[in-house]
Amino acid sequence: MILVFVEHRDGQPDIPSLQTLSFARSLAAQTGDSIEAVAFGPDSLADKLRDFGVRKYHSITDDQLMAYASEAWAVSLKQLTESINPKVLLAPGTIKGNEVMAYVGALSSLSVVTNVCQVNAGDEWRITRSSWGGGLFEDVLIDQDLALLTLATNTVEASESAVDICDTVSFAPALEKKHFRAQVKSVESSVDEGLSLKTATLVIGGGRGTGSAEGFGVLEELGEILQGVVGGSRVTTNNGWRAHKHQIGLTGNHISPKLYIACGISGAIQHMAGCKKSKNILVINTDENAAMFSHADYGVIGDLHEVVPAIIEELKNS
Amino acid sequence: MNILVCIKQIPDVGGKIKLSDDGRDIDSRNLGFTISPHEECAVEQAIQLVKKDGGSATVLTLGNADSEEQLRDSLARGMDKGVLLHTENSNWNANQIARAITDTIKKMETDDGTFDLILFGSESADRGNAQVGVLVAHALDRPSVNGINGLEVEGNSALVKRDSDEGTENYELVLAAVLSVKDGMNVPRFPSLRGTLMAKKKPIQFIEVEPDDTGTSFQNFEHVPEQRKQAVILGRGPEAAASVVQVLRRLELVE
Repeated sequence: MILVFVEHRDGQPDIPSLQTLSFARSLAAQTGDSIEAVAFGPDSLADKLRDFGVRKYHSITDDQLMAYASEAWAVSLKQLTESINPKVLLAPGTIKGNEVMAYVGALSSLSVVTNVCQVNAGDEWRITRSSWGGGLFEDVLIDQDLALLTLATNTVEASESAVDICDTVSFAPALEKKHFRAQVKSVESSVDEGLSLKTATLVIGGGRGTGSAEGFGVLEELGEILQGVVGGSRVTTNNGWRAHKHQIGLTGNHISPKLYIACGISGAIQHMAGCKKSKNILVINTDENAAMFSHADYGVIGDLHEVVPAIIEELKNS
Repeated sequence: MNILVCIKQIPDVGGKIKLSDDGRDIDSRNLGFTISPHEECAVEQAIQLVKKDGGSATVLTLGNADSEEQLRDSLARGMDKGVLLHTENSNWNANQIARAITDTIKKMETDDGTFDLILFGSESADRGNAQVGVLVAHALDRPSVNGINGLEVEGNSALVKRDSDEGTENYELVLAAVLSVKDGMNVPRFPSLRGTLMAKKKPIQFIEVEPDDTGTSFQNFEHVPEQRKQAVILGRGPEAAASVVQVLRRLELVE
């Protein structure tokens, strides 16, 4: 049996969890197992879980566990696995999923494979995981009675495949005070200022080629005309030319606009990790050998400080 | 306040990763080396905290002899001393790394007292397992939070902020604690010339380590199949502007 750890918001499984359930079904098809799920949440989750192929839902509703506490959640999951003996415990590769699973691994003295993209379940399990910020795949072998895995987000689409019935059973873990020493005290639902970059239709990015904070002036001007949002590569945030919240890249915002105009950006893999979901990429760069050109649909070879003002002029005249 | 920061040397791969023939390593023969952005922020945080509250900031890495360069770089920025867990074996899994680091921390703490804070980067820039911080915290029986975006130390508590889908989570941990830091928490300083000169004289302790033979076994890397594109070159210099505007029209981004 494959046990899936499901995260939810307001009683609905979140998207990474639904993707994880979909991935679990393809794994179950390989191993001939059934799928069960566990969540720190209400019975009402069962309806949605049934739509995604879950036959049994282990609901943990202890009040003190409703606010996230990594160790306490992990101890609960470990106790559940000891009670129902799954072959796999699979979690979404989110910040919480990876953290809780790290604790489950530590508590059980087992290895955890994070950010998994593919599983070949044979005598020994050969697992392909996302490595180098999505730039490489890495194959590892594990040989454990209980495989502890987290799924790289957006590896598979969330797709429904309903079963007739999903039984809900409650599980009550035995916990100690020390398991709550790192627990969320409060959550500020802050306005995410990076959100506009993440959701924009058009994004303009500046890299080393901007040369300074002032160098972003022409990009801002173009952004205003095209109603696009301006971001920067890590070089620009590191030099203080641009605030970190405007960073596009592996450790910043991940964007997916209709068009990304990358100006003076070389195209390091860390940057590509943040912009590769763009539908179209247009590069403006003085170096025609820049890696960015091999990821782009359109290119202009030239200095952004000359090309971008010319584009602005052209737009004003037309 | 005594702080330990753990960093990891990685090749600075730029736009394309080249693999060795057997796929077991990055071909780094023509590459420089660096550490992850997350770790740079962890180093900066330690330097700022020690500047404010006094104490000592130690930087530790597990890697080959060349990793000394990354330790010296952190020392040049303002860390006080370094520890190099030396191994020429490049394939350590997260559990093996965590055990080697934990053993070292236990020995160091017996001699010099407890680290109030042990900082990691949120995940390493290469394998990115995001496991080692938690494994070390568990082995030392200390609280931990992964991937934090804000930290203030007040007396014996660490006030921690972490961004999640729901908003910003607030934690209050009793020290000693283990935290892994996300890029953007601060703007890391660059080493000064004076710092670079001073770093040459700062102490680095070398300890030999080897991985035990448990857990996952690494097989090889593979390239992610990518749709390499051949960009349509719209032109050179400002003359290309008209063609760019045509593209914008075609994509219905301008009237």
